Amino acid sequence: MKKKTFISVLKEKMAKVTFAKISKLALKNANNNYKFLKYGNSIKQLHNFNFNKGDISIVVCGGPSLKRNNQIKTLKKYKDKAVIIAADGSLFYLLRNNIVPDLVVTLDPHPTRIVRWFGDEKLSRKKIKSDDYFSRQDLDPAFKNELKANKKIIKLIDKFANKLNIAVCTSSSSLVVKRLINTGSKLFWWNPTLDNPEKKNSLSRKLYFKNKLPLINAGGNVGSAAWMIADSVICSKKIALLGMDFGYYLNTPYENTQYYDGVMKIAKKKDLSIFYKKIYNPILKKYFFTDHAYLWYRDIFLEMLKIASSKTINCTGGGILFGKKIGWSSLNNFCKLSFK
Amino acid sequence: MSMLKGNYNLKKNVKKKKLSREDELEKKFESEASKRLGGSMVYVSKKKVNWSLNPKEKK
Repeated sequence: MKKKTFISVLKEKMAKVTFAKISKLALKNANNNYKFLKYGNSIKQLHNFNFNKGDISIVVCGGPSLKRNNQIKTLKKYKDKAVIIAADGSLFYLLRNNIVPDLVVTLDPHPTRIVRWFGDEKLSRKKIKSDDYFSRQDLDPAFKNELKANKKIIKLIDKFANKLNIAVCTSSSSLVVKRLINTGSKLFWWNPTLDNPEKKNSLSRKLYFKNKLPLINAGGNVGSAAWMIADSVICSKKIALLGMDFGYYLNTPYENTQYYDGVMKIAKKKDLSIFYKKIYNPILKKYFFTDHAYLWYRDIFLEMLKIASSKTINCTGGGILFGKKIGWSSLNNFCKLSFK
Repeated sequence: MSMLKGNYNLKKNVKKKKLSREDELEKKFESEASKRLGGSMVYVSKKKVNWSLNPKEKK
């Protein structure tokens, strides 16, 4: 039998370690957010609601290809026809290009980081120094000057706030929730599915009976959650994906990858290569590389596609998300064919 | 694997298996993952959206 690679072993542990990392924090945040639920509605209100557009959605995520393949012209051209659902990490990019998504999704319970996607009004040099998450990664080059980027985001969010609809997960941190409430954006609350709600002592069940909000399977990350909302809340028939790479371009230094700081806590530089895997994308005829978390996200996404109600086309133009149940196209061709 | 202790000596010396570098890193991964290396959210297989749960369904 072929020996499993180190990264495959780590990937198989992801469900367990993520549950250990997230579940308690998600529940704690959901309890704290209970008092804020009155500032919004249940996401149930968006069930089968297409924002007065058609039954086609474009899910925009913040992966590196979003900026590299810059398909913004096409997005602008079709923004009034397709429902645009943005993962929080792509909001800055969309707003600075004058595209207001129909819905923004946020879920990560991290106590300090996520508010930055919406502008942190209390950001200081000291805070930046203590966490290089945004400047280090290849997610959005605009974050290289963090204070400047933050000011810009605050300005943009405040400018477009009355047009923004946010699908906010009850697991979100209080910093995110307070910021969103202060902007006056419309909030649509939902619960994360933390475990099987049909089981005795299920945490999801406990969460549901506390606030009666729908439980949504988030698929491990905000991009997958945005897709799930397009598929099963908005009920789009066709979904295009943008910026959903689940991988890195080969010339990306390890230092610029998402989990580098965590890996360096347990490994030495000489060990780094075993934490990453090169994957050949047969559609693009090009190699990308990935890490344990993105590999896990990719597997989850391919599994979720098996029970999808919609057809999904990856228009990212990069990364490792390919498989039997997912089509590939440029966004331009997708839109041309979909909006004849 | 735990070792049974008896009141006799074995003829052969049992050497403790040395962990490979990968095994060591795997062990460290589990402890660090709960802080920095885990995903952003949990995933539950074969579930989509539960709009409502019936209290009677509690098992």
